[in-house]
Amino acid sequence: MQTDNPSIEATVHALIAELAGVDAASIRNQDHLMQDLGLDSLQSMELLSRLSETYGVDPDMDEVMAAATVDAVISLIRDILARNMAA
Amino acid sequence: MTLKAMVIGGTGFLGLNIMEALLQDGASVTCTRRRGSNTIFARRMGVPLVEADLTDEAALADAMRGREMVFMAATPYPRFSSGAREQIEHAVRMAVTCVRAARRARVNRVVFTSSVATVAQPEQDTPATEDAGPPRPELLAASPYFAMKHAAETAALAEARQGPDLVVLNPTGCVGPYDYRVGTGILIVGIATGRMSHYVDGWVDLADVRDVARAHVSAAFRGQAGGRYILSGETVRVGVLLRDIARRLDTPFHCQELSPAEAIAFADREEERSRRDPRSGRALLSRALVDILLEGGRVDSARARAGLGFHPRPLGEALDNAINWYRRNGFLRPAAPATATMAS
Ligand SMILES: NC(=O)c1ccc[n+]([C@@H]2O[C@H](COP(=O)([O-])OP(=O)(O)OC[C@H]3O[C@@H](n4cnc5c(N)ncnc54)[C@H](OP(=O)(O)O)[C@@H]3O)[C@@H](O)[C@H]2O)c1
Repeated sequence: MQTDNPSIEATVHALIAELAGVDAASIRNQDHLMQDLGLDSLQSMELLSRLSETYGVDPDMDEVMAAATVDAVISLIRDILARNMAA
Repeated sequence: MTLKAMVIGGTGFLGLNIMEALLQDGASVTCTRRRGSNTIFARRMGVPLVEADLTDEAALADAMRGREMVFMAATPYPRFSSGAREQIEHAVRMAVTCVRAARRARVNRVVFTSSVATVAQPEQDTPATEDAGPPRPELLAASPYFAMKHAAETAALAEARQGPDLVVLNPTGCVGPYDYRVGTGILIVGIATGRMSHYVDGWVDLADVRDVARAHVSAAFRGQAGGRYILSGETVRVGVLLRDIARRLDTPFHCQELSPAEAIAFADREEERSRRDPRSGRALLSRALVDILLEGGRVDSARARAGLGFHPRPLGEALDNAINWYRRNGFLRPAAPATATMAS
């Protein structure tokens, strides 16, 4: 299980690159998953599902549905990890 | 004795509900997954996920070994209505592979989720039953959805003559929890978010997915081998249903009615746009949904009621529960991203 924060960003970028078929280096954190990167809602769910398996976290679907940008995805994973750590 | 079951397609809408019903009965359940499956819901159920794909018979048989009962809730339905021939062949291959793998793994029984689309609508105004015969040839030629469902079910039944036991279930449109791909749920999410801009009137039958799932579990024990069971709920006019959903959502109804010919043309155009440019979003109306709504009629689930103890709850209760699920899970926000509009 990975937990260090800088690698979360790299992992998110790599996975989006794979799903969207874009170069990881071209992804900016403010990018919108759908408008800028072309992920549809099912691909966004796949992204969050795979990340949650990688990091051993259990996001709520409404959090998944609300994560519309790369930044929001990274924050969501970080927040859940922090939440789990505090619990 | 604890039933040992495997659900193929357990990461999907019907599959998740079948797993929930099996777990409620104390069964031991494994769930297939693919690499890219959305496992968020399946993991919460605490069931082991085994990597298996209907394209690989040997690996599928390995995953099935030691399981008494296999629930096949993964027969494909068309994503787009173009390329029908390839999609039909694919669906047939998946259905046959499932049965062959089950035979290889010495599974006792396969419960095969098909669709009410494989049952002909009688000419007279009588409800369709399992004995009504296949859909008419013109419909099979015109609708990839009907053709795929019919071909896959026929192939599975034929393959199962060499074993194992196979029971076919023919559900109507299902509403309820876990429809995260927004299949039949488009009737709710589409009205809530305004994405369902157009519709075509006709008859539609809807059942609560939890009752349909329960009937699957019952079919594992009480279903007749080689038998088919219609699982239907309430039949309503589409226009009446959509207005009722808008009322339940407390949202204005702005959906424009199209004639059958207009609806087919509109859905084909929408699918073509979405296929060419996935970034432009899913089709606002899918061809499969149009075909289902235009062909819909009353169906009779007497056989499942008598043989499987199938008791569909009232449609209003099913709709309210589905609405609550979508609301709780963040699908009904006005700015919700475009979701699938594919009937399944
Ligand atoms: N929804 C309805 O209202 C309704 C009504 C009548 C009949 N049906 C029928 O019921 C079945 C299930 O429908 P659904 O609504 O539950 O669909 P769904 O949510 O799309 O689920 C389909 C499931 O099948 C799996 N799958 C697809 N291709 C596969 C493959 N090659 N190997 C292994 N697994 C595969 C999917 O896995 P991934 O998660 O990896 O994609 C998913 O778990 C379909 O045959 C559909 O036609 C549905």
